[in-house]
Amino acid sequence: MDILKVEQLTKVYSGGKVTHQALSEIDLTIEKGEFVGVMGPSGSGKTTLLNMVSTIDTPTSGEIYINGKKPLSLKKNDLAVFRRRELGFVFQDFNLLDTLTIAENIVLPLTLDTRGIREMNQKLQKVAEKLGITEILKKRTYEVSGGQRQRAAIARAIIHSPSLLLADEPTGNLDSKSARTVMEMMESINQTDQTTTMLVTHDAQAASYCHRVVFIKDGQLVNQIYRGENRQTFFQEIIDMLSLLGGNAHELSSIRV
Amino acid sequence: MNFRQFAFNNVKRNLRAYSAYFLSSAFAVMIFFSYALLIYHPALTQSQQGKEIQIGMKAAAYVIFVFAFLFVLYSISAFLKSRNKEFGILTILGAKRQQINQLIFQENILIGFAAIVTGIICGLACSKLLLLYGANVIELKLPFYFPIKAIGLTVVAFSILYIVITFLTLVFIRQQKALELLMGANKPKKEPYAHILLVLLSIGLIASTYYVLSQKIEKLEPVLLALTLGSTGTYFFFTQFSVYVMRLLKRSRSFFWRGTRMLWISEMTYKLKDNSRMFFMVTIVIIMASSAATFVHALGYEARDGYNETPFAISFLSFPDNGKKFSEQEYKNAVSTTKKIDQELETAGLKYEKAIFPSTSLDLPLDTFVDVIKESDYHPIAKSFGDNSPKLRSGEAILIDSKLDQSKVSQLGKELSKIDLKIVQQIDKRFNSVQSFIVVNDETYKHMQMNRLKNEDSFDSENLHAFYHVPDWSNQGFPRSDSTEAKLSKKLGEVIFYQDGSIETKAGVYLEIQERRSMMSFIGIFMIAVFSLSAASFLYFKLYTDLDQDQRIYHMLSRIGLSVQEMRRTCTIQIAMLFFIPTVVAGLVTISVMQVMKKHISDIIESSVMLPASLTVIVGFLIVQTIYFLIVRALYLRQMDKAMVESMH
Repeated sequence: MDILKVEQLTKVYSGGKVTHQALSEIDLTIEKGEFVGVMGPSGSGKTTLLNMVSTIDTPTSGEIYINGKKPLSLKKNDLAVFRRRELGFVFQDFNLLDTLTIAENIVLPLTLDTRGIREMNQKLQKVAEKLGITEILKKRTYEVSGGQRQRAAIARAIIHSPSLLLADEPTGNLDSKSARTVMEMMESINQTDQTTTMLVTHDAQAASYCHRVVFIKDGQLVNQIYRGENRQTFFQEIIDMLSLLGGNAHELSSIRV
Repeated sequence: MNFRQFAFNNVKRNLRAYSAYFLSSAFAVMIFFSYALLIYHPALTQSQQGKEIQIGMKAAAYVIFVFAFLFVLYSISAFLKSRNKEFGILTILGAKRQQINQLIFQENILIGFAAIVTGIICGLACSKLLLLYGANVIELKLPFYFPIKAIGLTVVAFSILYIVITFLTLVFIRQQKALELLMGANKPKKEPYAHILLVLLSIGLIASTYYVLSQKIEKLEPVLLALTLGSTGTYFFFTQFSVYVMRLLKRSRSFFWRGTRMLWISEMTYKLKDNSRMFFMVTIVIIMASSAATFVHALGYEARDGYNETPFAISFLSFPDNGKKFSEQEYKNAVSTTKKIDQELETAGLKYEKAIFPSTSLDLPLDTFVDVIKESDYHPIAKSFGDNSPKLRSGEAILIDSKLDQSKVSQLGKELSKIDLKIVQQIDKRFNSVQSFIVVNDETYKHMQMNRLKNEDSFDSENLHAFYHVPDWSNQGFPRSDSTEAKLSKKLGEVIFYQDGSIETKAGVYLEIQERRSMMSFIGIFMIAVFSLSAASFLYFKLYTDLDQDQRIYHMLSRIGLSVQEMRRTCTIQIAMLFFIPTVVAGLVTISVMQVMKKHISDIIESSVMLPASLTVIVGFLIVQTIYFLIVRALYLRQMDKAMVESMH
C-alpha cells in the first residue's frame, strides 16, 4: 500500500521577472513501512519537495496523495487537522517550546486534538520508554542535551502514530554520537511500529539508515539506490553517488563512523 | 563607512525595530508639549480662574514628565534587550566597548532628536483641537497662539531626559558579558518561580493597606504609609501571586492538557512574569487616574443631587449682632433686605412664593449647623418637601436634611436626646447647602426659645430665614450658566451685602460645584487619556518587541497542525489578559479604596454617590481599554497570520 504518492510534481517560483523551476515533474512513491531518504546538493529542491509533502507549500502542478487522501484539496482548518493527525515532523533545530516541560512538549499534538488525559498519559509513557527519555520528562528544554531534545522532538512527532513521519535534517545540529543514537531510534521506530518515514538530509551517515535513498539534482529525480545487507557498504555507495552527482564536497558533512 | 554612518544606517535600515520605540517616545513628547501649550496660554495666565487651572496643570505636567521618563526608560531597555544579539556579534567581531557605547549613544540622540521634533509638530497640529476642547470645558476663549515658551520647555526638558537616559542605558549594557549578549533572546528562560511566603506577604500587605485606610486619617503619614504598603503589595501581587496562580493551574493535567490551554497558560506564566513590573506601573497609574476621575464624577452627582433636593431657589439668612435675639431695628432691616430680593424677582417678571420665619440655631458639639423651626411656620411650606405635615407631639422632631449620612444622623439623634428631642421622621430634602433643619411643635419651640434667652451659658442663637419658591424655575432641568435663573442668582449675590445677611441660590451652588468640577475634569480627562493611552502603548510596545519570537513559535506550531483559528484564540486570550488584568485589578482596587475612603471625605461628597461614580469611571475605562485591545489585537494577529503556513500559499 502506498502511503505517499507524488505525481508529476512541479514547482515554479516566479519572483517578478525571474522565474525559477525548483522542481520539475517529480514522481515518488513511498510504501507503508518504508524508510526513504532524500538527498541532493544545496538548491536541488529537496526542501521544496519536503515542504510540499508537509502541506505547507503548494505545487504549481502535479498531485500529492498521503494515505490515499489529497491534502491539497483540503480547506485551511481541515489541513491543520490533517497535519496534526496524519503527519509527524522532526526539525533540524528541534523546535521545542521553552515554556513547556519535555512531557508537555511531547503531548502537544494530542492536547491540540483534545484527547483524554488517560490516553495521553499512556501514549506518553510508551513513547518515552521507546526513546529512552523517561528520566527527563519533567525537565525543561534547556536542562537537557541536544540529543535528548531531538529524541523528545521525535517522541512528539510519533506520539499520535502519524501515517507519515517527515524528518528535515534531524542530525544537522547534533554531534556524531547523538546523531547515531537518534538515527538508531528512528530506525527502530520504523521497524517496530512500521512508521513510514521520509528523511531529508545532507548527511550520508544518517541516510545510510534508510531502506532506499533517492537523489535529486536541479529539481529532478536522478537516481535511487537500495540498501543491501550491510549499512557500511550502503554508506559507501551513497558517498559514491553524491560525488557522481558532482555536488561540492564541502556541502557534505565529514564522514562520521 | 565610518562608525557614525554605521549608526545612522543601522537606524535607517531597521526602521521596523526602531519605529515602536520612536513612536512611543514621540508620543510622550507630544503629550508633554500639549500640556506646556496650555499652561503658557496667554488667556489662562491672565484670568483668575486660569490661575487655578494652571496650578493643577503644572502638577499634572510634573506627573507626566516623571511618567514620560519611566516610559522612555522602559521602552529603551526593552528595545535594547531585543538587540542583545546584535551587540554580541559586534563584540565578537572585535568592536570595542567604547564603540558600542558610541553606537548606542548616537542612536539614542538621533531617535531622541527625531522624537522631540515629531512630538512638537504633532502637538502643534493637534493644538487647535485641544484649545477648542479646553475652551468648551472651562468656558474661556482660547485662541491659537504660537507657543515659543512651550516649545522651549519641551525641547530642554526632553533633551535632558534623553541624555540622562542614554547614560543610564550605557550602565545597563556594561554589566553584560559578550556571551550573554550573544545568547540574547535565544537563551531559554528559566521557569518563573513564586514563593508561597511572598504570595502571602502580598495578600498581607494589601489587607493592611485597607486596614490603615479604614482608620481615622488626620495626618499625612498614614496616607503615605498606605501608599507604600499598597504599592509594595500590588508589586508582589503581580510578580508572585499571579505566577503562583498560573502554577496551580498547570498542576491539574485534566485542566492544563486540553486543546490550546496548555499553550496559552504556559506562555502566560512567562509573559506575566516578564510584564509584571509593567503591570504594576499600569495598575498604579490607572488607580490614580480613576480615583481622580471618581472624585470628579462624584462631584457631578453631588451637584445634581443637591440641586434636585433643594425645593427653594433662593435662601436668605440673617442673624442679630448679639446672636441671642433680634432687636426691633435689626428685625426690620432684615425684612427690608428680603424686599430687595422680592423686587429683583418682580422686575424680572417672575412669580414667587415667599416664606419668612425665625429659627433657633442649636449649639451642638457636631460639625454641622442645626436650626430648629416651629411647626406652624413649617406647615405652609411642608408640601414643597412632599410632606403631609403630621401633627407633632412635644419632644418629637422632623429632620430635614439630605446631606448627612447615617452615622451623622445617629450622632445628631444622640445629641438631641440630651435635650429630650426624638427624631420621628427624616425628610431627604434640604433647605440649603449649609444647615440642617429640625421641625418641632410650637410648644417645644417656645420652650427652647425661653431656654435660650434665660440661660446665660447657652450659646444657642436666633436666625431669620427667608425662602423663595420660583415656579418658573422648577421642572426645567439643571440651569445653564447663561439661563435667567443663573443670571438672576448671580445678580442677587451682588445686590445683598454681606452685613445684611447671607444669600444662597441653588443655581449658584450648583454652578459653583460644576465650575470647580469642570476645571478638575479638564485636567482629569487629559490625565486619563494620557495614562490609558500610555498603558495601551506600553502593552503594544511589549508585544511588538516579542513579535519575532512569537512568530517563530507559531510558525512551528502551525507546521505541526495548529489551525489559524486556534492560533487566533490563543493570541486573543493572551492579549486580553495583558490588557484587562491591570484594568480589572485597578478597577477593583479603586472601588474598594473609594468605599473605604468615602467616610473621610463625606464632608465634601455624600457617601452614597461614590459607588455609582467609581463604577461609571471603571466601566468607561474598560470601554476605552476594550477599544485599544481590539486595535492591538487586529494589528498583532495580522503579523501572526503571516507566520502561519497557510498564508504562504
